[in-house]
Amino acid sequence: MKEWKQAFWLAGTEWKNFSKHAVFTYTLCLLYIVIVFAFLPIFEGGTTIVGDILFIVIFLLFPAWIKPKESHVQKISGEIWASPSFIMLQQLPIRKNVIVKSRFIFHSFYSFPFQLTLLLCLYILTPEVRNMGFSAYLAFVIIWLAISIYIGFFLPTSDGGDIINWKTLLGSSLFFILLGAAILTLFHAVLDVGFVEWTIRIAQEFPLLSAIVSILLAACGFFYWPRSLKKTMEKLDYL
Amino acid sequence: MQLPIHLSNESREPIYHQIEHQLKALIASGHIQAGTALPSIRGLAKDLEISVITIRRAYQNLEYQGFIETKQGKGTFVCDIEDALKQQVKINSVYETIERSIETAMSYNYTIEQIEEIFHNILMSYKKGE
Amino acid sequence: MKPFVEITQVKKKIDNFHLGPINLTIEPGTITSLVGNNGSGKSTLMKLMMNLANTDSGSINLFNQNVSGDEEQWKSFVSYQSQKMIGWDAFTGENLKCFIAPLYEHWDEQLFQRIVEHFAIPLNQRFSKLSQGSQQKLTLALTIPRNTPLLLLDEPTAYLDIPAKTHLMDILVEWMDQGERSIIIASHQIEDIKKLSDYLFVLRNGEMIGNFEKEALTERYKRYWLRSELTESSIPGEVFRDRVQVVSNHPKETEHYLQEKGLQWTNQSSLDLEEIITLLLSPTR
Repeated sequence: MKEWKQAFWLAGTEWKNFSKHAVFTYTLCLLYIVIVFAFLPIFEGGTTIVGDILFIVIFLLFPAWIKPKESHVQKISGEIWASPSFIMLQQLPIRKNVIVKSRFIFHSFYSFPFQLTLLLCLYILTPEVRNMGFSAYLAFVIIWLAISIYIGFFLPTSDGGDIINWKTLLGSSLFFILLGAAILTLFHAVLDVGFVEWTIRIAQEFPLLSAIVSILLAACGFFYWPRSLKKTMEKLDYL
Repeated sequence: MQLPIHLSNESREPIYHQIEHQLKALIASGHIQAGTALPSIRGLAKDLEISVITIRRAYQNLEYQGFIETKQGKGTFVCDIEDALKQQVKINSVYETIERSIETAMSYNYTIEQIEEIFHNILMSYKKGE
Repeated sequence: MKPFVEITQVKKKIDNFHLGPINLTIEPGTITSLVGNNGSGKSTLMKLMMNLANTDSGSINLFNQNVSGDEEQWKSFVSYQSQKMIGWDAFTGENLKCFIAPLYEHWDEQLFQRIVEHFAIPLNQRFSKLSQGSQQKLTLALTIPRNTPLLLLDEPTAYLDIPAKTHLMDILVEWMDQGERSIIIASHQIEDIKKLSDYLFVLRNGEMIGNFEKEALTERYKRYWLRSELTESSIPGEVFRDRVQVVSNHPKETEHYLQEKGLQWTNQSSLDLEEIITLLLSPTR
């Protein structure tokens, strides 16, 4: 409990320093959302691949974009890339567990408010979502917030850094692009349904089951990612 | 407070000894009055560019001989020393200085008689000066 | 009193660079200068001490705790100033203080204010907007008042102006006088080394040359001017020769040898610390 308290204090103090920046970027993001969902008909007649990509990118990556650039992973020295904020915390008398927790809390300060707004906008702006019914919409929100944890928490995990050169960079970006393409193709070609559309459907058909499975997956992510960050932190040489 | 201590690396006398002697002379001659606070060991180490290990050694010797005392948490102070001891230090320092000049002369291969003559000449010039 | 730092047989390989094996003990109340040429591993050693990187072998104990172990209390007893403060850019001095001060039990606010005032550091500007000198001043103002028993400073004076350097030394001397404290300072500034250090820990290209008490080092080196040039290729204690001039790091042995051979010297002198360091760090020793 003491660890959580200190982690919250650290994340809060850091967030306060960037609050002006956060308000600005947050407003900008809202504007994007409204434009995308109000004027581009990406959900009409089931989601298209472009619609899927657009939604997933906005949902998962915009929070990182709202974050101040000091917390973004960048070149520290040689081939070490990490978040400068993370390096700063490491040199202060803070337990590793607390540093790890504070990174996830700091990320959540940006991700959850934004993602909730996005899901709310979706409700207001797209008829497909509005017509789901309340319990289905609730399940839909849970599905996506869970994704924000078991996939999205990859972002604060990456704060810990890695050894990056053009080979690893090329390798990992190819891997993620191919993986993403494979999953989306699977949905579109095999199931004949967009990914976002599919989450709407399972939320409607199995609201309880999809919510429970999502929460379980989120719990896994909640335990897995911080451990992964701590491991990186112990393994990597921040020289 | 900066103390007028001058150390010589060329001297065969160890550094801590030089510090000890010069401080004694400063105290005996009244340059530093009884009760005066001396610089901290670390402070003197900085001024003289000497490690605290050496300074501590000099201070410990001086304390042992009753020239200075350390008051816990307050610092190091010059003691009120007896006149007899003062005289002793003065005499010692005069003897040492003269001995050193004789050593210098001898290293230039002067004979005792020649050195005697030099001393005599210097003393004569002082007498005339009066 | 137990030593603050105990480094035993530490080795670290980074690409083609080999650091160690390093053995170093830091006792309370001492200032140790890490001396070495560029890239000799001074910063790496400090980072290993801060557990920012892992050792390949050997152990580093700070305040009786292994730094790579599960116990992390040792972190509260050390303040570390790296050459470049990463992650500070977006913060103002004031905000950095709000971040750092509460993490240290014995934070000395008065000392912080004094340093800020003396160095005229603008606290309302972002760190990135400050000049290199001001950045260094602010970093010192945010490091020394943490009042931890151990202070690790990695080239703290590289960008400071002359009055600031002088003032910093006074601050550090005063700081040392306030209790059982120790400083490890990596510096290329001879003044820092001369005025502050008790011990010189010398590294040459990752290899540990030794940990020397300052006077022991200056007393060990002597320079002789001989009457004629030596014919011998090398004599006991010799570390450097230039015609009739011979430098020795074992004066007794050298003098004994010269006397035995009936070789006379016209003059002798001690060496400056700078010259000694240069000799220690020169590759052809």
